[in-house]
Amino acid sequence: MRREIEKYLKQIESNLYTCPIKKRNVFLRDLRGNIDAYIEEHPNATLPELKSIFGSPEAIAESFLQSDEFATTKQVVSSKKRIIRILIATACILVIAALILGTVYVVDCYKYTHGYAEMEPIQEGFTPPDSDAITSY
Amino acid sequence: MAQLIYDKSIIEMLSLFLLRSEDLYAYEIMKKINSMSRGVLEVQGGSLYPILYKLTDKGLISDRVETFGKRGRMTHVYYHLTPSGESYLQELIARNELVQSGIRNVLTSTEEET
Repeated sequence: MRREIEKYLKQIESNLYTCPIKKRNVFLRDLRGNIDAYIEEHPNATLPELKSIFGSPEAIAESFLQSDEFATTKQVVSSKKRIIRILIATACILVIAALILGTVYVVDCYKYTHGYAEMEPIQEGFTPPDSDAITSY
Repeated sequence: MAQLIYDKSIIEMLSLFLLRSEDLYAYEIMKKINSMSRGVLEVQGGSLYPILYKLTDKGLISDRVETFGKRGRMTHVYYHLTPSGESYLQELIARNELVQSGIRNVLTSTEEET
């Protein structure tokens, strides 16, 4: 039964993920004490019985989130999630942009270092088109 | 069959009323509501806890932790009615009586009156 109680408390804890940790821990400790008191009175109690007395994990979470204080917390959590999503999207865009620019840079460098030039032997009597400028220089 | 209470103001009123005579922990409040209503009313822990925390935050009740068990590992949070809780209870009782009398008036009214 002890294992089932721990599982029940774990389920409640995971359902209350939006509650502040401190409040959640106070509640879980309080609930554990009350469950122990119930078990002392009813040693053969079953898990469904406990759920009917103290509520199912989902119902407990729902009643907590319905109260004003925890509803505010829920809003804070959802706005935090939104900010995190925006940050992740921005980071993704930056990474993609960096990849594109990096690729362009690498291709450019490759072309520069692995480029080629066509060389022709200069024939005798050949004068380049701007030979006057070269001569004056 | 016991009726589950979900109405916050009723749970508040009954809890504060019970705390008037002695300090109790949540499970004791649940048990007393059930036994004193002769099995008619029942409050689930899930409904009671948020209300007790809200009343505590508002200063209408105070809490203290007491350890029990062999190694003192287990704890009970006892709730105590404060003076402001007492005046809030009076207000809740008065409001509830007014609502009850209003409901009674509606249910006992004849068709001519409507």
